Amino acid sequence: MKNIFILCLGLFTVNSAFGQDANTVNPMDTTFLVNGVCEMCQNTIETSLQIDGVESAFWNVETKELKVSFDASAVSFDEIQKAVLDSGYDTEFQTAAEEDYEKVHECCKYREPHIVEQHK
Amino acid sequence: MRFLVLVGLLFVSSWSYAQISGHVYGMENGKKTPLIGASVHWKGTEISTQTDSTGVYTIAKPQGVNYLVVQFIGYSSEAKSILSRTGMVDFTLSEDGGVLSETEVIGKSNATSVDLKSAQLTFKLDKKELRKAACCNLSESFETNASLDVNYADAVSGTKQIEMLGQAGKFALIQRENVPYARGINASLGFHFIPGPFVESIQLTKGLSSVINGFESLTGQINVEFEKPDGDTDFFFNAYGNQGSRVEGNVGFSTPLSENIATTLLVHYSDIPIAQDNNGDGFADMPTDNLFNIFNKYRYFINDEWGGQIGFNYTVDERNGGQLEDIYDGVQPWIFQQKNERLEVFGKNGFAPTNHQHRSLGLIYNFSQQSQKSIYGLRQLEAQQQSAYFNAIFQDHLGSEEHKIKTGVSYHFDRISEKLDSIGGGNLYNQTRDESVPGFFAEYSFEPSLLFTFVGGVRVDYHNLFGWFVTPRAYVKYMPAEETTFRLGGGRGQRTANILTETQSSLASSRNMQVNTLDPISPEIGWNAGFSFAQIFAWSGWKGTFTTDVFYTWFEQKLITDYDGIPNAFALYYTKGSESISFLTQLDVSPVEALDVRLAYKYLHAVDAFASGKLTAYQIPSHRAFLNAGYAFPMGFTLDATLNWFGERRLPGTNSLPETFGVVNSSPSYFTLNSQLNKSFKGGWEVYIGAENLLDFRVENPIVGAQNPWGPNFDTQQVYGPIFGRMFYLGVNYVL
Repeated sequence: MKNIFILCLGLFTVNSAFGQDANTVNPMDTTFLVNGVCEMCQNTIETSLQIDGVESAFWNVETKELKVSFDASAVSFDEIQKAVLDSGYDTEFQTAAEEDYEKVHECCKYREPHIVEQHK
Repeated sequence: MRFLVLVGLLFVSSWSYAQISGHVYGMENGKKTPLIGASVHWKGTEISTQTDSTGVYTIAKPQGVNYLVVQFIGYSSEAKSILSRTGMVDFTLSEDGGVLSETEVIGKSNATSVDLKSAQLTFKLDKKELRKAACCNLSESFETNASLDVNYADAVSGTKQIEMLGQAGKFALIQRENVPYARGINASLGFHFIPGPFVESIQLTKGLSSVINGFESLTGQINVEFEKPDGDTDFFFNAYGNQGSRVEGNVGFSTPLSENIATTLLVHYSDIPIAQDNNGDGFADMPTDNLFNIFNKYRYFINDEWGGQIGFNYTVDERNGGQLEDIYDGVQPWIFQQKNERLEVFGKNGFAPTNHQHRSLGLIYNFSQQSQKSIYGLRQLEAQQQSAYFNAIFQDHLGSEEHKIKTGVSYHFDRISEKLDSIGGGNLYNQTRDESVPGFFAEYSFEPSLLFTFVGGVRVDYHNLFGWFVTPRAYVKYMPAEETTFRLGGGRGQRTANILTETQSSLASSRNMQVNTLDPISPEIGWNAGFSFAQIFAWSGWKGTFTTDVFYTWFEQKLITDYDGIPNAFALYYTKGSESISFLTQLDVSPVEALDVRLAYKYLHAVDAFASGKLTAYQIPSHRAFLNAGYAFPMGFTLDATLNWFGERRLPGTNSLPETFGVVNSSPSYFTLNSQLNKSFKGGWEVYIGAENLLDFRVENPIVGAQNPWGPNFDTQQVYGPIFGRMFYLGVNYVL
């Protein structure tokens, strides 16, 4: 378990910069909480938002805040949240479906107290 | 032209409620079956519910509480971190494995938690708690726990003895992974031989423990779980050094060897190469110490039903203390020396039939050999012990899950020899005995709900020297609400005294040993009863636990060491009627998430039945208070501080020492302060720095007559507190 844990911490570096779309019509920012424990979670959460209309997504492992800049004319908040939930991560509003949570990597099972403890 | 919209808020309004629902399953025969009536609650709150007839729960989600806990009798509790206001989360509970099960720690937020399921008052100390006091062996592990106190046995040997419920540590059962460990001649040193970094968790039970574990415990049970193979490759490393010239290294390694076999290897080496004398009395404040300890365990699965573990432990230790030779030029120095060597082979087998989930059989065995050789001035003590232990425990339900029975047979064999010689003189004491004790036991538990438990147990043993004896024990737990717990319990305990090894600290004096009993090999028999109350509370963001307990111990027969009856001697004899009352009240609070505070007060009234009448027991302070605070800063820093206050205690032997030696009847009260700062780094590294005895309190004259140890008034029993002053230490941990 712990060697995977190292993987969690080490291999994945912050990648929050996505392509800038010059033609955004209705730019918006939103911040909401997403549960998670490590930088591997960060990678999964942020990658899940590589969808049309999302300009940038940044998730903070300490505060669990996900900051999303998006084009409201191209993508809705519901679609953004659905993308996060589909990647297996709970948001502050809604839990991910069991089958999606199952897909989350063993060392990132953020609902399990012992995993939370390991990442403290 | 970017503007912030609180999309979130709008979104929330479409949900007029906040609730979580889901299924609770139990794992049976590898199949998930819905659990009906499982209890579901938010950790630290009163908000709870139960699963319905289809195993489904629905529970409102309060703000700021994120751990949902599910409990069901016969299954391990499970908690999940849930941030969301709504949604479905399923739980799958695995069966409680019984004897061989590993300890579960619910939620993990409290480093020390009271085991709610247990009918006895049991505290669990996990890694987080153990890290609060980094040095060095098991005795330091209880530095942040008020239930148990650790004192020096004398002022030269560095031997520490524990006190629980106002009685010596020998009346507590000290187990390593459910196998009796510190028994017989190892009773006073067992703590010294358990390196802190080996320890994964500790369960501390106050009062009597289950009859399954034997008849010996009376005041408590300490079970120590070592680091164990968990199916993955793990590695840890610890290095430590302090101002007292102690250096220490610990290495642990776990790995699977095949699909069914995994191993853990733990190695400890510590050295105190230089003896220091800071108080100028010519005696080493602490002896030099050289300790090597290796522990190797294999866990295996034969098939789905049979599994087990086997391992060995080898310990060798040598300590040297007493007068520093260079100071006493030309005069023979008074020296202390102790060598210990212990080898132990142990194993467990568990059988859990897959077609009967409640049924299991546990077989525990252990063989050990220990030799001890000590020199106190001109007296030399040699002790040997060979022990064999076997315990078979069968567990089943009686009709329904509410009624459980554990029953089985056990066998103990001990060959213990104790010999005391005067160097250059003759033999002073020589006894060898064989103890052979077969026994059987049964324990019935009635758990109609999570809120009520009754456990009644009895064992009948036959001792080859003392004959048949019966050990009854019973406990009741009642929870009028989920946050409130009452416990009541009591029963009998018995052990055989080893008069030399247990009182050997008395040899660090000019006193003669007088064995005032016809039969030095006798049982110590006591009865213990206790009551406790625990209340979990949460108001306005403050979470905490309030615990209070009262225990009463009474001895039918106890070995007394009397320093005051005869001048220049210590007398050993057995009497009836020694008793102690212990009252502890403790408050654990977390005013904010990162801060844990523990405040405790302990009252002890211990009376021993001396030949001259019932008098206050030696070295037991009547009043004791304790404050511990731990704060977790950002960036991986944690700071922990413990302030101890010890009240006056009666000192031994003051009647028989001349007043010119400045001897007082009781010790002054005093404070000690310990503190430690930890910093953890990503990648598994942790560095800690700390100080013991920051206030630099020292016992002024720990050794009476230190100038003339060969004279008639030499005594080291008066030590009631630290000898070494303020001591800084530094250490590093690495966990892969």
